Amino acid sequence: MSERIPLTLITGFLGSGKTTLLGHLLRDPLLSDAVVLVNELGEVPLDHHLLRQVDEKTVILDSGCVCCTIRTDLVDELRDLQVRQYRGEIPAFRRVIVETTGLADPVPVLATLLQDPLLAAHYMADGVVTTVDAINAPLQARRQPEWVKQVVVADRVVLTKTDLAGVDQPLVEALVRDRNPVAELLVADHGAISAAALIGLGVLAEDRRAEQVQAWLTAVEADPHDHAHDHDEHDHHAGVHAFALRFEEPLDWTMFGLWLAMLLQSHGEDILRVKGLLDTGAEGPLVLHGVQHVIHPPTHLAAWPDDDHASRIVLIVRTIARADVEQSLRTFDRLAKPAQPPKSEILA
Amino acid sequence: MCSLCGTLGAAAHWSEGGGDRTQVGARRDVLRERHRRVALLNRVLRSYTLSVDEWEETAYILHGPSGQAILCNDLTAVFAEVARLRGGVALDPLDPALLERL
Repeated sequence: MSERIPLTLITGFLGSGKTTLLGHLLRDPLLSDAVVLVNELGEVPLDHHLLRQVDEKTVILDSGCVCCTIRTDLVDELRDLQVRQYRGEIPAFRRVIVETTGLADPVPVLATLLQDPLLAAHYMADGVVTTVDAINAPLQARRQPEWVKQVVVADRVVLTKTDLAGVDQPLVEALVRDRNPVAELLVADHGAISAAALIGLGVLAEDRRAEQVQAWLTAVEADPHDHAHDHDEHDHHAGVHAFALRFEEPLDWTMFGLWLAMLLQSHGEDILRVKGLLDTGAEGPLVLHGVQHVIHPPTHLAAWPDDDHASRIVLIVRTIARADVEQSLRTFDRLAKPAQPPKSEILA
Repeated sequence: MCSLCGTLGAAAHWSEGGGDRTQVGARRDVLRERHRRVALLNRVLRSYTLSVDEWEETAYILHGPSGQAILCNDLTAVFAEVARLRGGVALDPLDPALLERL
């Protein structure tokens, strides 16, 4: 398979500075060979106006709402780009940036890349960048489920408007950390941030997967705080928390797949992210990475990244208790393994 | 697409793992794993009077309590159909009653 084109997703709530950020990014020479897909929403075509400087490479999706139509629009657009590039109708591009609307759920974009066989062969999700408006984050975190979703799926969170009066930056950082303890937090200076910090994350590149999972494990295991907190009844994300599971014995991969598919069917809305290094009895670990219902094809690594060969799984969930998940997985895994004779028989 | 039955080839489900399916050894492993998956799945489904068969290395057939046979491309489709047969109630692996039965 030829080298796949990385796709970076820029998301963030309404007014959080996505377009300003994108405007700065597009001046960076690192993105000179990027195609940018923006979504125009509303009567004032502000996005288009700001991005006019890259008009030849900017494709505005006509539907107006990425979250509803992303599967067909994005599939058509990305396929068309491949064809036009092949025919020499457009310059060769080496990266795609997709900006979602402020109310969009970013997950369908990731799902689209995996579910369409042609796109899966030519494109690769590089990472999700989420802008967070530091002024309005405390309110949005309490009232807007879209805000929570966008923060939870982020690989990088960019805080914007931190220079404005009245911003409690430590509070905003805590709000983000509580929902997503594993994303790297960056601060934009008047919308400006280095493109290098946001692209080439290689979040799903095979040679970076173990490194990424290790970072998750370190972040969650090292912090005794369970990333859950109390909120009032209007809080749309009460109970969002991260935890890590650890299994010393190898896990049966066939049963694990069955168990996880079943868990996603029954609790998919509450399983926000999952990452793990699994000991399935092979030489190296199996790397697991998923965002809600979207589980990326797992890969086997040739070797473990360190001396710890236990299976470790990190989950960011909503309302689901760690003990319930652990007990369930242990029960299913036991079912897949030959019954051990009672100790009395062994001793006899 | 299979020219006999018209089945469209879909992207492999994540639970099917990686590997090169064109290699004879790999194909044998895939088939063995699919049959093992069916056996494990049936251990979970039997208390709901449901069962599953492997079908041509490309799909699973879910058998319902009143004789329905439903073709499912992958595990996700199997559990979605199971939920549909149960009036929209998905099988919950966190359900203490299910864990007790297992």
